[in-house]
Amino acid sequence: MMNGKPPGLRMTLATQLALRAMLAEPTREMYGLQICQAAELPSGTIHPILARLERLGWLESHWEDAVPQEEGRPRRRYYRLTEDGAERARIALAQATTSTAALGLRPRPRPASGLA
Amino acid sequence: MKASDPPVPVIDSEGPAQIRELVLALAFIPDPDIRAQALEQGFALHTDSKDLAGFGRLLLALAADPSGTAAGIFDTMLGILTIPERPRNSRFRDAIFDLPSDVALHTVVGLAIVHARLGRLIGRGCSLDLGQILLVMRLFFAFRDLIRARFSGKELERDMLIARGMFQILNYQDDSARGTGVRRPGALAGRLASAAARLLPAEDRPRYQEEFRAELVDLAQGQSSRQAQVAYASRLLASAWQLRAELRALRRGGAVQ
Repeated sequence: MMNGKPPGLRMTLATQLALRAMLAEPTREMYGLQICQAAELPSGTIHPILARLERLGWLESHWEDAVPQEEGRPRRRYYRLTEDGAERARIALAQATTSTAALGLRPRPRPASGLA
Repeated sequence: MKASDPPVPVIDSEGPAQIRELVLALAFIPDPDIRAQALEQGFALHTDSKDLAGFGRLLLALAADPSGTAAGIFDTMLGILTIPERPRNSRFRDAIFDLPSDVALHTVVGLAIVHARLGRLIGRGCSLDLGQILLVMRLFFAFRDLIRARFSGKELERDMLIARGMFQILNYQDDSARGTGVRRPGALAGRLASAAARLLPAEDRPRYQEEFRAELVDLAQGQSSRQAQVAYASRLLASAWQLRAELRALRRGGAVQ
């Protein structure tokens, strides 16, 4: 299903912003807080979006390969677009942009870089 | 119900979203005393005007006000505080029993919170009207018993989880004045994040507990203020129901609409 959004995906503005942030560097792994900041979304609001995209197979996630005791913090959960997910995201965003532009709701373009 | 009957405290059917908004708003208020007053006023305004959502937005605006006039405004608002009259007879109990489920459940939560607040105020030697204290306590226990008898535990459990999150806020002693370097997440933010994880399906809780904690630590190590951490954790709590729905849909292999 490469055309159109899949069932269950609500292409909200927040979802669009998150996808745009991740598509800026599709192969980059980011954790939730980083995605929030890259997408300029309020922190703490990204997890339902990430869970939905992961459920649809657009994202994959894994724990970082680190020892919490050595790092002095719990492990981060990193997210990355799947190859298929990146392609679907581009198509869905293009369609969403067409719809939202007609309503004057087009999201601002995201900067290419996120956090370190 | 006759016109002479005491008013039934009403919380409208949009209660869950409004309560979450109130949690969020309260978490932004750094002064524990103002926060406590706000909660009492919020309950009173809610029962009077059914406009807790509006109250939540007002609190957010006041909390963000850098001029420090929030305390004065809250003092003025304190005059609005009224508590529903005491139930005198079985007709009142019947009226409670006929309330829609959301109304009744959230009334229990509201009363439980006020009950907890009153206990703390009494402990601090505040001067309160004894009749009002007794009334709130009686209402709380009457509602709790009725709700237990009427509803399955599921919805009640959900709302009491929200209530417990609010208790944690109320019991929080603001320690933001201690020191200037923030390296570890604040206690309140940690508790709110834990509360958010506890709302998720059991099998997903460990993952999100760790994920949320890691992000809080990142915020703290990035020199975010405790207030910013609490804001972050409050938003986690506010969006926990949505995340829970997504996770449940994932387990069912279906879609959330």
